Formats: sequence, structure tokens, C-alpha cells
Amino acid sequence: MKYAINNWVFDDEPIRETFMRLSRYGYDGIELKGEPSLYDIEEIKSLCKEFDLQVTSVLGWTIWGIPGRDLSSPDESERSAAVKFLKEVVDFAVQLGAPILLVLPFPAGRTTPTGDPQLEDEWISTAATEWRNAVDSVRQLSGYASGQNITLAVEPINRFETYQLTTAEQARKFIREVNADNVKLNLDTYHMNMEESDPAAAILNSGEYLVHMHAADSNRQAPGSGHTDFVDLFKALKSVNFDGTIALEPVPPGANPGTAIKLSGNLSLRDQYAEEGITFLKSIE
Amino acid sequence: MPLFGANAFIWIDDWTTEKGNFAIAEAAKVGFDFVEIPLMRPWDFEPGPHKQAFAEAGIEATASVILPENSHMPQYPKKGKEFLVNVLENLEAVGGTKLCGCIAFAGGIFTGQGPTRAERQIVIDTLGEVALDAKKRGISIGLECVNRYETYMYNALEDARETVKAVNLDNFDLHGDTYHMNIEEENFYDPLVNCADVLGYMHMSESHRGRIGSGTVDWEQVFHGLADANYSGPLVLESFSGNNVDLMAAIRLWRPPKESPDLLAREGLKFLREWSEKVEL
Repeated sequence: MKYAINNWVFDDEPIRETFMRLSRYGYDGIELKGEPSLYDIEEIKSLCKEFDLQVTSVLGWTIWGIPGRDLSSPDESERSAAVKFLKEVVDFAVQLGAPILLVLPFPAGRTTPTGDPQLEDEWISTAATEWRNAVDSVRQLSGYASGQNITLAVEPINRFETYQLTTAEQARKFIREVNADNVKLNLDTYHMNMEESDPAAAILNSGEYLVHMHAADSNRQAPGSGHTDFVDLFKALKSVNFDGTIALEPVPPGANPGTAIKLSGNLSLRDQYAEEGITFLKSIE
Repeated sequence: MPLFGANAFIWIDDWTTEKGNFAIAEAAKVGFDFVEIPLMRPWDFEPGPHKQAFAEAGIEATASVILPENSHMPQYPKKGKEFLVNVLENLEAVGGTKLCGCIAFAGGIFTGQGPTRAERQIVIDTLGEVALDAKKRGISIGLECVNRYETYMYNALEDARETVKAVNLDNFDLHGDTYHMNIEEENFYDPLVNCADVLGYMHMSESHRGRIGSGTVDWEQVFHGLADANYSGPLVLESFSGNNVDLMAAIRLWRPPKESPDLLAREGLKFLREWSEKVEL
């Protein structure tokens, strides 16, 4: 098993410090927040060399509220801006040799269809339009990424972060509709605890699709600090011969659900979560 | 054996006079001891017909609420109190004995900070006044904590326990919910035992809000926790089968369970009874 941490959880920390930490605790690589303008590509390449870490993956930063990030939008200019942005993220990931780009077909944070809830029928039917749009957008991206040694991994997230695509089953349906060899699946242990009847079964049923994993415990803290049955999940991963990376996304309790580990106050948690997470997972691996 | 209740949203997508009475009759048929009324719009509520329906069905009433956005208690204590007193008047009029739920905060309101000491103090003072009003009506109050996506005020049972202790009235207690515990607590056993002195009401809800027993909630820990806490309050089944858009938007239920309301209710009650017997609750 290979391990990484996504650097979004360290908020605005200088990237060199993140590399130092991951190297210190025995990680194999880093997953980067997919916001290319934040980085100097040459600096990342040189850090990878210096610390012997790889960029295992990039997480397309399609967060609701940032204009031009909604792959499913009924607004054609919004949607084409999102496709354009993610093509830039594909380029960024390819330049760094990252084999996986995580894609959220619906922006994280938008939990209802676009439009006016008072227009009930129209509002509900927008959900289907947005699904079709998202399929079309991801298909465009898959064409763009084709032949570039990168796989797009669709990630289901929980109901409080999106209103569509919350389970592995829905994601597999989405992937089949996109129908491209380079579009696969990422599952996240934190979201699965909220949405799957049986998270291990979700992994077993997704064997041929699953290329990458996200890990946090049930309370989104480091694996080992909640009630997620990681022993059960590892059994399932082994049984489907999973050979991808597990990227940790541990986030401390905070005022907002997406709160990253802030520089102020909780600095020691950065090391603590990084160390506890990998130690715990390796102990049961 | 505890009393078994059912939240009306198992059968209906909105509480109106007609739909409410339908839920009361259905709950009685299945064998529940009481119906929890989602009393979200006290200004629309008609107690008369419901009082009669409860009497005919031979079951009791409780109510749960979510404060409206313009009554978020830390910011608008006066409006919050007015809303709750309005609910209490209606609940008393149908003969109900318990008001619970999101009584200290509105859903989905965030300040970008954690709860401050001042906010908690406003809640303690205001709910103390509400509880005194409720006492005159023979109603007890339960403070619910819910997950991080719905509020910043109270997420873990231990947080809410401190407020319950500070209010310090014999008709004011803690309302736990297994759905929220699944997201917020380190496990299901310890918080129940640690809050034994204040725990008075339990929502029994699965991790995906569907059929109880078919998700990731560790029911063995829940029931052993309740037994070791010597819990003597009611167990309230909370599954949602409705497709009401307000409800879907409020609790993000875009993937309703496949089971029928009747199956959710019957299987749910059976599940709660069997576990209660097993741990001698």
C-alpha cells in the first residue's frame, strides 16, 4: 500500500514544510490541491527529488462558490469555464507525473439543484440536466487526458457536500455513462461512513473501477480516532487487489466542516495527524 | 421496556392537519406508543383535530423542531424563545409532554468560528426561561446535538451535557441521535455512558437515514451504552421516506430509502424492541 496526504488539509502552509513532514513520517507521496496557480512546478519537482516523494495525485479544486468550477452547471459559460480549468489541472498533473486526477463532477458545497426551489418540478428536473452535463464535461476531460498517462478518478462525497453522486453505486453508473477507459473511481472512507450501507461491500463491488482511496476516520480526524472499521476495509481492498494510493485527508473539529488544519492554534495537529494516521493504517495493513 | 415513538416523517412529507392525522393513525397501527410531531410551523398548526386523532388512536404526542433562521438563538434569543413558546402552546393543546430537537440554534447557520462562551450563555439563559414556561404546561425539554454540517453550536453529546447541567432544571435534558453520533463521536458507547446523568430522549436513526440496522451505526454499542447508562427515556425511530423538497433541502435527503414507510416503521419497531429486550433496557 502507498500512502500520501492531501496538502489542502494543511491550509496555507509553505509546501516545503509539507514535504518535510511527509518524508519524516514515511509517506510515499503527496496529493496536491488542484489549484495550479498556487505552485511553482519546478519547485515541486525539485522537492520531490530532494525528499524522494512523488506526486501521487491531484485533486481538482472544484469548490462551489469559486466561479467557473461547476462541471454540471446549466449555465453554458460556467460549465465551459470549469472544463477549461480542469484541462489546466490535467496539464499541471501531467507535468508533475501524477498518475491520478480526482474529479468531483458536481462542485463540493452545492447541495441543491441550480435554480428556484419554489418552481418545484423545474427545480427537480434540473437535477437530471446537471447529471447529463456532468457526464458530458467529464467525457470531454477524458478525451483531453487520453494518451497522457493519467487516469481521472471520480469521487462520491457526502450529502452535505453534494446533492448528487454520494455513493459508489451512483459513481459506477456515472462512470459507465461517461464510457472512457481513463475514467475510474476514488472512494473516501469518511464519506462512505455516511452514505454506504456497507463500506467494505462498496469496495468489493467497485473492484474493476477503484484506482485511488481517500482516508479519514468517521469524525474526519486521523484514521484510528473514530469508529471506522479499517480492518474490514483493508480486507476488501486486498480482495480486489487494490494497488493504488491511500491519500489521507484528516481534518480536526472546527467551526466549519471543511476547515483545514489552521496555522493558528492547532499547529501541533499537523504532525500529530500525519504521524498517527500512517502509523495506525500500517499497523493493520 | 422503554416507550417507543416514531417521527411522523416516516409516513408523510410535511405536517398538515390531514397528513398529520394520517401519520398518527399509521403509527398506532404499527404499535408505537407515541408520534413525534415535526412542529416546524406553529403558526399553521391546528391542535383541535390532532388532539382528537391522538385520543382515537390511543397514543401520545411529542414534538421536535428546528429553529427558523431568523430565530437562531445565540443571535436572536427573544425570537427563539417566542418561537419555542408558540410551539409549547400548541403541544400542550394536543396533550404532548416533550419538546426536543434543534431548540438552541437554526439549521445551517455558521459564524466561521466555534461556539463562544457568550453564545452558550445566551442559550443557557434563554432555554432556562423556556423550560420554566414548559414546566407549567407539564412539558419537558430535550436539547439535541447535530452534526457539523447542520450547526456549529452543539455537535457532540459532551458539549450539550455542559449546557444541560448549567440550565439545571428537572424538566430539561439531553437529546441524543445516532445519525449525528455516527458522524461526530469517537464511538457509540462512551458518550452515552458519559452522559447518563442528563440523557432523556433518543433518536434512533441509521447512518443513511434509511432502514434501521442497514447502515454503519454500531447498534450493539448503542444498546449496550444505553443499558449501562441505565437509560429510561423513550426510543424514537427516525427514518425519512418523504420527498418533500423543503425536507430534502434541510437534511440533504436526495437519495430516499427504497423501502415503503410501512416497512420502515414495522421493521424499525421490531428492531428496537428486540434490541431493548436483549440488553434488558
